[in-house]
Amino acid sequence: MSWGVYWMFYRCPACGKKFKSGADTITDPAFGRCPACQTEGELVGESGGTYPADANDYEDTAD
Amino acid sequence: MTKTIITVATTGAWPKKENNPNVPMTPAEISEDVYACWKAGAAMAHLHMRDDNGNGTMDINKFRETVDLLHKNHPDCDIIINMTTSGDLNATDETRQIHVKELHPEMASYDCGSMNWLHSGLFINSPKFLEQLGANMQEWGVKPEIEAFDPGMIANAAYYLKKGVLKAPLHFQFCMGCANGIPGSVKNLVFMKETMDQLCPGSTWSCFGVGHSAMEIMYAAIAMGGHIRVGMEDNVMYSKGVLADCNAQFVERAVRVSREFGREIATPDEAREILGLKK
Repeated sequence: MSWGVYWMFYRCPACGKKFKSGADTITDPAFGRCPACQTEGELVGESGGTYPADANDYEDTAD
Repeated sequence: MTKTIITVATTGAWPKKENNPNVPMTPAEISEDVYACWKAGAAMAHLHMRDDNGNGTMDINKFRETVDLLHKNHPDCDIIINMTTSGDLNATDETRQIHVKELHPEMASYDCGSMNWLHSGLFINSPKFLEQLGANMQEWGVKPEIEAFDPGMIANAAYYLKKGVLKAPLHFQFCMGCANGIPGSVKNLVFMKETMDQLCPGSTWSCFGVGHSAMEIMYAAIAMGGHIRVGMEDNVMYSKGVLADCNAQFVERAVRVSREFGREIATPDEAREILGLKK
């Protein structure tokens, strides 16, 4: 059994952008940072906890 | 060069239609999907089942219906059936095994240790369960696929091998990039293989990387002589930002990559020979 990517969902406190980082990219400098303005994001959900209803709207920081 | 065994893990216990509308969930969907993957080159299908709400279940009737549909609608399909024993975290030790006893798949998963699951629960494979499952699988003539999420689980397999709970040659599935497991990287894959070679020499191995590490692990495995697993259990995205159309799409890519490297694809019968299975 596997469980795919463990996502951490963020909202940018500066520009409001929604984005997500996969735990398998935790060493990526972009992890948890807004892809638009590079501000450290505020954690709003994660795979094992509160999974956002609009999860598909979050941009992957590894893209 | 050894031919590549491609395993398809079509469904898993986790992704749902809202993650990718193409994840097969019902016995009818899964059986058709397995057939399409076999036609594309998969030699083995790793099966999980879902209940009517889409949650992971160990309901033997779902397993039975899926296999029956596959064989009834596609009698030409000789794919190796590999059933999960870990498809529902709330299942009992008994319900995790009864379908293996009753339905006699050629292989079934054997998760060789416990771990935290999704930072929120426990994925428990107790010593008692592993000893019982290993002994039962020997009695029932079902080969375990040893799922190792980290090197410690390989060491655990070596312990059960020495104890007679498992019987050589073992076949490993290195599960990489899962939360709380070993991250998916070439360096870590080499370490997993070296650990296996040291502790359980003569074993065969396959692997997959979830999410972003999928391609890195697949290419490395092919170059290192391993076998590979693909499918929506591990990845609902085909590439960055692109949802997979179907599981066969993953199989077709794996076939393409392996052949371009110079390794042909093992048919189910060739895979049986490599894995020491009796048809």
